[in-house]
Amino acid sequence: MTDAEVVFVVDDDSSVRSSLKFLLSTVGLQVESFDSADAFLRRKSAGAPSCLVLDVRLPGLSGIDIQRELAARDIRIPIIFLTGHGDISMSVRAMKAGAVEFLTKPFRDQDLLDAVRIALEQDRARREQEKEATVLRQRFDSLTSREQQVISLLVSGMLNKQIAGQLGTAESTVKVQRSRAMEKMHAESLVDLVRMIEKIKSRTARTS
Amino acid sequence: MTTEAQSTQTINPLDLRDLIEKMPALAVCALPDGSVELVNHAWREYTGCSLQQLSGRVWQTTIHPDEVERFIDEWTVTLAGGKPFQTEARIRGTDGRYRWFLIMKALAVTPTGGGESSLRTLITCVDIHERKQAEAKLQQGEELLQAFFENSPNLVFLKDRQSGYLYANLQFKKAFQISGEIRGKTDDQLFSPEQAAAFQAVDRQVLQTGSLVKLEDVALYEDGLHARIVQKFPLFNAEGEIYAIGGAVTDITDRKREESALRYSEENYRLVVETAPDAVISIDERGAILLANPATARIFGHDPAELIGKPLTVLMPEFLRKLHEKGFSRYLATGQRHINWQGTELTALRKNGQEFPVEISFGEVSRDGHKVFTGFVRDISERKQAEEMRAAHARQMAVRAEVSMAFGKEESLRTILGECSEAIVRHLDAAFARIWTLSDDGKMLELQASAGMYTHLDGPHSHIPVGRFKIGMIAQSREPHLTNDVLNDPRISDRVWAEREGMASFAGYPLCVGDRTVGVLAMFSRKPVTPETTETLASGADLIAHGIERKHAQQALQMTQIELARVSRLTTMGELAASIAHEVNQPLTAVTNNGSACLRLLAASKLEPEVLRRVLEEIVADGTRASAVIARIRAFIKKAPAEKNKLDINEVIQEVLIIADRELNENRVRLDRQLAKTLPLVLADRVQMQQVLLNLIMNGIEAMAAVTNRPRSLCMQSRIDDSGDILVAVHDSGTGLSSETHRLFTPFYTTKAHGMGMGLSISRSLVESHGGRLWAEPNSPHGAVFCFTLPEPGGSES
Repeated sequence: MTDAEVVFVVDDDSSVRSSLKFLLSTVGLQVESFDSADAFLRRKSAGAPSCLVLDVRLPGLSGIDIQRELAARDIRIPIIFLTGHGDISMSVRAMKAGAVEFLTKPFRDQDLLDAVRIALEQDRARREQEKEATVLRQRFDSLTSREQQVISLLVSGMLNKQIAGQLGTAESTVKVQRSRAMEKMHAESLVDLVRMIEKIKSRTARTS
Repeated sequence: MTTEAQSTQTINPLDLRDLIEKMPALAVCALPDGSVELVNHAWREYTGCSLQQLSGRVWQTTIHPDEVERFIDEWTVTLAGGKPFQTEARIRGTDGRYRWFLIMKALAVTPTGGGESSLRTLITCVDIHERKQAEAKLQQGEELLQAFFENSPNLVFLKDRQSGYLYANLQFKKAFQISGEIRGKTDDQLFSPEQAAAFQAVDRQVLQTGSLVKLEDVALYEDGLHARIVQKFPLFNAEGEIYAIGGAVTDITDRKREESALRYSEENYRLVVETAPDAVISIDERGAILLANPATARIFGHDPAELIGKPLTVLMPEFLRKLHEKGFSRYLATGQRHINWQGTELTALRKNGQEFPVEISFGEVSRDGHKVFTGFVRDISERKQAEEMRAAHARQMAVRAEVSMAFGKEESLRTILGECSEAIVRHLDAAFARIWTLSDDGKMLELQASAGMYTHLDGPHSHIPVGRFKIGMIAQSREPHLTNDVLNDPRISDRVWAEREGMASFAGYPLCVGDRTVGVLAMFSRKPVTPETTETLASGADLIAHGIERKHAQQALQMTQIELARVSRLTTMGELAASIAHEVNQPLTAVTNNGSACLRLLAASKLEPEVLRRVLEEIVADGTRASAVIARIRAFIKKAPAEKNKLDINEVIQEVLIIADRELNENRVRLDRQLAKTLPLVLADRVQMQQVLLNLIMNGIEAMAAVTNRPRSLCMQSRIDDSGDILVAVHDSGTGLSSETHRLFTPFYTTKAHGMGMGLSISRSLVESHGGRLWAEPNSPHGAVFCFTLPEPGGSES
């Protein structure tokens, strides 16, 4: 748990907040706590892997509302829900919307710590993927538009000859452009290139 | 006397004196100055007055006061004129009575003893009293006769031989309006020529025959024609010659009128008898028919002529004949009547054998020493029919009224229908009447009421599938089924029973509201069902059907209301539970978090005392906070909005039983009420008490759902317990309590498949909020008893 991971705690109850902070601190986690959804949403974006421990019942926006709001803002922070009483339908909804865990108060300390650990791992992995995609996107952006066209057609499975026919140029020209683009993208093989383009596509390049 | 006195002028004075003394007449001798010289023996004896007593005023003392003045006057006049004196006057006797005397005076010269003579006056009084009285009597007799004739109601008159009137009495004058003197007038002057001629003709007849002529005639009086009996008779003089004609006339106009009226009424009577709508029959002492009018033919079917001579009993049904004969002969023997003679209702027999109701009045007359009885016989079949219709109408009204009244009561449907069926039995002469209602699924008829010879509600008829048997077929076809021939009706299954019980008729009606069937009403009777009865049943069925429908709707509404109240309270409780969880969980979470963190640090030997102290403080604060939350919730429950009023818990029990009525019926639960007659009012929230009771009743019903091998019975009990509190207990014969009795009242604990586990918990909270207790005990031999108490008012609860 390097890179100064942060656990955000949102609970309107100050005792719960401070006890959570204390508990999480025992495993060396940095905790930032908020007493409302609004206060949390107003914070600066974190660069390090983070997760959110969220009470379902809050004044103002509820925990579920925050989950929806974050999704709408494309903020992909993993969420661990805490609730005062077992509400199955609510927990199902929360889990479907991507929550990591749904814990009923009072919970076993280990359950929370496990959930937090999983959440932070998820966030770290996501962040790395996003970082790679961003690099690839930057490389892709550095290609000329003709090179981008050639690569796109290549990835879709066309042969050089077909690409030349499509673009109305000589096959030799396509060959040159193709090898230049491969070089710029740091792709060692066609398979490598295809994987890279997939990553760019899957993550429509907008950094969080 | 005067002559006598004068003739004694020469006799010896002494002799004269002696003579006077001895005269039978009263005699007084007076001097010329009027002073009395002597009175004789007769005088003294009659008047009782001696000479001394008279003291000169002889007449004033003895003459009647009415006549004394006249007497003195006459005396004075004659004395002055020297004339003889004679008068009549009354003189008083010794007994004080007066008698009439003729008083006369004679002058006499009496020679005295000394040779000188003196003038004397001799007065004699002769008793004429008898004559005077006879005269008065005679005069009185004449006056009487005159008055008799004058005032006679008859016309009385006297005429001379030439028809000239000598006398006519007042009545005569009044009749002919004659005023003034009639004497001397003739018929020609007084009457019309025809009348006068008629009168004179009779007069001539009297003169010719010399005897009484008596005749009836008609004369024109002032006020119209009069019928009269006239009697004229001759009056003969001493020579035997007729000198006058007497007449006496009696007015018989009124009698004539009565006679003619009588004749008319006899005629009328005959006509009435002939044309009478009633049979008129006369019998003799043997009971044989003497006379029968034409109506007899119409009413009895017998020709009147062929009835003559036959015994009256041919007109009677068999069962009355002996009775009549006995009664009739007893009357003849003793005069004792065996029936009322005026307007007695009996049964008569027509020639064709048909019996019919009659009203008989009869009377008796004696003819030639024999009794004749005449009876008027009126056929009252129609009247009876009308009466029967009126009675039927009254019965219908009674049934309708009682059904309406029953449905007006705040009773369970079963009780109401019980009253309805009783009304039908009572008013329609049913052997028994039953009412079934249709179950909710519309497949089963459930017996709700039975009155008359059968009152049980269990047995084979308690549940009848729609479409089966006669009752189920009525519900299915929605058509009434009526029969007056139960033994031959194909739908009647148990003919042996019907025959044994003598059932004659069956009437079954579907209970329909619009196109919905809600039940069946049916009755058996030992008598045929009349059209009036079926009409009453049809109208009663209509009322009952609507009543049931209304009652169901009312129950549904009440159920909804209670359910609504229950749900709203449950929601509140649910929210409360969530709130409890959240409020308490917050500090608990903090405590566990803090505790866990400390344990972790401790394990890693990283727990610094300063940190531990701070965390422990937080733990203590959170624990305190948790208990404060619980205290607050408890306070909230206590303050749960309740509207407490003084109410009779029995009343609430009845209300809830009405609501639960359907549930009880559908689950075939027998309800038993053991409610204390009088309970003090409790201070409680009616809706909350309803909830508690309904909850306990429903629990009881549900606990018996699985019971099939014994009766399902629910007993509602209310009483005062040993501590003076009001105790309500619900006994069921269900599956009983498990070993986890203590958990029954824990929230969310349930033994039911679909239970929430909140009912008893909430009920207990509600009862406790009323200051009471709620608990469960095992029932014996099966089931459970749920009891709750409410403090008696005026106790600790305020």
